[in-house]
Amino acid sequence: MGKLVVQRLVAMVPLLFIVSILAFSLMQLLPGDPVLVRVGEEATEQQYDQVEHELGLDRSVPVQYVRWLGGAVRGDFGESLINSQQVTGAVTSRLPVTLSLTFGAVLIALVIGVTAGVIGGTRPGSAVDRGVTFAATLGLAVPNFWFAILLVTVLSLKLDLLPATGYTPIQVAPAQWLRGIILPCLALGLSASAAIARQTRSGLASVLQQDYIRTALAKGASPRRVVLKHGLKNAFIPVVTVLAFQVTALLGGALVVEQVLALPGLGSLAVISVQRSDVTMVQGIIMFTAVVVVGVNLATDLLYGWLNPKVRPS
Amino acid sequence: MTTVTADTGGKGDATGTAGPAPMSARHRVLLRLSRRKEAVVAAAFLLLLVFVAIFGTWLMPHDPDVQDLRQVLAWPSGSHWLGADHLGRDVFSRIIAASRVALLASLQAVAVGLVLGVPLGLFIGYRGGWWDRIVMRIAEAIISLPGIVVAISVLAILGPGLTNAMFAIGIAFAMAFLRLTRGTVLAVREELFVDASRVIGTKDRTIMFRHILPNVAAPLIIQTTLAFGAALLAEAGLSFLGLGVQPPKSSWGGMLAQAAPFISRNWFIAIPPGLAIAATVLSCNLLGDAVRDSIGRGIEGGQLRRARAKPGTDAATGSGADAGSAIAAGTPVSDGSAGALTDVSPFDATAFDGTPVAGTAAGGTVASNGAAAILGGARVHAVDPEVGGPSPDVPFTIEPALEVRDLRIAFPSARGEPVTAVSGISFHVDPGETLGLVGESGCGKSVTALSVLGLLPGSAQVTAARVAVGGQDLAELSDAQLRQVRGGTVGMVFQDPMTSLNPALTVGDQLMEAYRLHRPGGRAEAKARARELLGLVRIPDPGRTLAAYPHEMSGGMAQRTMIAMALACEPKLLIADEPTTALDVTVQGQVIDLLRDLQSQMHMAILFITHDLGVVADICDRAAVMYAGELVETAPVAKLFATPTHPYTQGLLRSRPQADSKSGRLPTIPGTVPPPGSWPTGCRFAPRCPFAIEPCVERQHLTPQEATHLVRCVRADEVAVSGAPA
Repeated sequence: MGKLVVQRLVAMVPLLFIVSILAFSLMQLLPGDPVLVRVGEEATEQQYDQVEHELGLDRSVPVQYVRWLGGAVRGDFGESLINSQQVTGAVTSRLPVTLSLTFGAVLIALVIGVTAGVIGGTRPGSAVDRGVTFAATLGLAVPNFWFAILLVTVLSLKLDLLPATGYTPIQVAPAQWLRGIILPCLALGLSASAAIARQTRSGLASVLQQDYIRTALAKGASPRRVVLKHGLKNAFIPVVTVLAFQVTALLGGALVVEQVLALPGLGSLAVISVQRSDVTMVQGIIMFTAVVVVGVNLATDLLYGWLNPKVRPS
Repeated sequence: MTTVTADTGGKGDATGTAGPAPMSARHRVLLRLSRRKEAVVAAAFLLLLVFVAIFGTWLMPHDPDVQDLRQVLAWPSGSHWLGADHLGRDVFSRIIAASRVALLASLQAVAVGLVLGVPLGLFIGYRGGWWDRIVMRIAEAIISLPGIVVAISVLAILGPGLTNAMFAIGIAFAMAFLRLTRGTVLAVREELFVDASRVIGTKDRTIMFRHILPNVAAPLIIQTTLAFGAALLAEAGLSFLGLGVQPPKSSWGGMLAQAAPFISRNWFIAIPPGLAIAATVLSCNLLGDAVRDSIGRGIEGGQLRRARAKPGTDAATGSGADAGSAIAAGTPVSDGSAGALTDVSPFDATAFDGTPVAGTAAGGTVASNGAAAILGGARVHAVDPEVGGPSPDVPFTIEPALEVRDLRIAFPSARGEPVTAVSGISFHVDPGETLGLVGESGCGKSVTALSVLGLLPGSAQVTAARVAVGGQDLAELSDAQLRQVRGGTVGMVFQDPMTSLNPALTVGDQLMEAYRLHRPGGRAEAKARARELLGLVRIPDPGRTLAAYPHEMSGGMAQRTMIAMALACEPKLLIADEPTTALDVTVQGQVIDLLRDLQSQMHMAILFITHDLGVVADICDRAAVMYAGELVETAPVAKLFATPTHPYTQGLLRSRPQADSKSGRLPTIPGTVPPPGSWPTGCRFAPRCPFAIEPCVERQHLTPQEATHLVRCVRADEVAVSGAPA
């Protein structure tokens, strides 16, 4: 398995590299002059040159890229084009919120999705199964943020169970943090749990028709054991693929759901950066997102390797 | 190899003329589609949406932009059917107006995706080389990022706005369409190397483009339908953030954004826009799924699916789900790059390989016999023996290891009437002896073996006067007690060892499980026993084998392992269902020798199912010949080979290839085996029998020639003994 880890890590590097090139070229595509934006129309040529030098924009493009990349590897993504705020600082202060939201939603999606999928997959064609499938199909069509609004209406406004807005960092008050994060995680996890439920269900239903299930039964294993030990490990293989994709989608969805509940995550930063064409900030957001995605893909690749011995390098 | 043009697309001809003209593929698909209720409803809804979008202006009760500050956040009423928003504008009218935005926006995004993605995919698929490598790396990089992040990047350059937002989303879609198209091109290219036209000398380019379009059409149509829904969701999200449609224009997402801050005062107005989005996306998804299922097997997104043939399947075991094997047995296409795990269409986070098994709302047509059925397998039901039924066996002097009396097995059929696969067979196996159950494919022998332990799908109907193991009638046992028998008193070995072992668990794990399910003790003991068992079946280096996975073993080793598993608890009876059929001939001999030795060591009875008379001669003490669901002859093996009495048996023996045969042609039995459901009422072999006479149309019974030799033939006494060549 160790070999698999190294193999995968090595495969990730080119991807990050290419993402960095794409992110960097955004700056080149920006219409207008960022120096002018900073310096203002009234500035003298001297002031213009000075700011241009500060922003590093007086060098040639490849050099700019190398300098930027050098900084990026060290964790320094430069300054915001708009207000000289450190990009890294701005992103990392908000990243934990988005990540808690994303992975909380993944957890919920797994729990709900797998349970529903197992219930449906072990009774294919039954009324329960049809119910699960229908609910899943519905869940895939509902917008996350709308579901969040509905949840807020019911759970916060009507029943006053959970806070409607606001975020408490986990270091400050874990219980409050949990109360604040549960509602958005539920909302966000909805469509992911639907996708996972569908894949678990169909995967399990077909796995249970395989010959080795019959062998397990012939050995005297109980149905529960057959499903949990023999069935799920195989049925999970396609689920993991879906999971990897879902986490990426959830990361994006988190940016939107945050806005419903005024959570101080990357979402609001992203919106402001777009509105102000703050490209350096957007570059930072892209790179951090890419690193998270790469990490998630690595983890799911490893999980996949554990589930399916055939793909491990021998 | 799936033929490239067979079932997909094709020019439309014979449009629906009744009569002998075959329907075009397109017509067939449309017909299948129209039979699915949810597809029809979904399509109707989408058409309604288009209608509303076009003619909406005349349907709106109010001007959507007019503000009426006396009606701010009004609840639904006669004048405002869905209430009014925070500026007093009529929600219903705004929903209608926004439908046009929704439609156009989605169209834009999908169009951008297709226009950018498909030609590029065609190009790099065809050219290959550096173009392919570079573009694919870029595409993967873009695909690896969340769509919203890609959109944000593009919008940071272009600025917020609906058109810009849909362009940005279109770029994300383009990557998916690109990968799809490229995949199809590659698949077609591979097929071409086998294609005859290359031999003839037609230009590659001509063939390719003639073949590519029909093949890429099907998955593209599916993905485009799904993409509409995805585009709508994406647009709603971006507009919700304020980066998409800009006020005062509105989309449904924008309406939600405006309603959100006021939900404490009026929560209702947030409902209609969300419902509209959900309903539209749902329709797109349902339609896309339905189209996918209607098109059925074929080249889906570049993955050519190979049908898995099950050798010698007996009648209707009910598991027609070869499609299912595609998920479990096959691994997803992984090209080893970092993005490999996201080899899924972004529109379609569900059934990524397009198998019809994937649960659409209409749900598992395949699996109603399947999973739950096997988990709740068909138990034997005791019934009284038929009056005037088969003649009873000679009373037993010792309790047989297995006694089966008047076993009948029927399966549900598409027509509703259950089809009988086995119509009342009786046999027994004495302790320590080997009974061979011989017959050709489709005679019902495998099904018989499975029915003993209740391993047939739950929809099967199994009845018998008696099925007893070591004197214990299995029909009287509870499910839990039967589980004790399985693997404990009765061991079973199946035909294909490579599929009968769980690929995700080590051999050691599975062996130990066989032991620990019935014997107390911990892992250490189980491991020791597992080692012992591997030695018993003569597998060298047991330590390494215990840690190995099934796919790392050869067929012969795997089958030995299966035998070891079956013997873990020293069963009194071993049921072996064609254990050597899937093995090489040389390995077959070894496995049979092994079984014979083990049997004498452990004084075990064996029920040996096979179609191979050579194997019968090799290992069996007695043999029962089965034809079309019933036994036609039972005898000790020596006698059977020396004096075969039933014409079928004679035919079987005669048709074995002989090394020293002088005649040119191999004698065969003319005709074919009647399938279950179309058995003749009298002797089932009569239509093919050279000795058939008038009385053969009546029901035949097994009659003893001698005490141990039973034959089901009215002419048994007279039929000249032609005997088997030595």
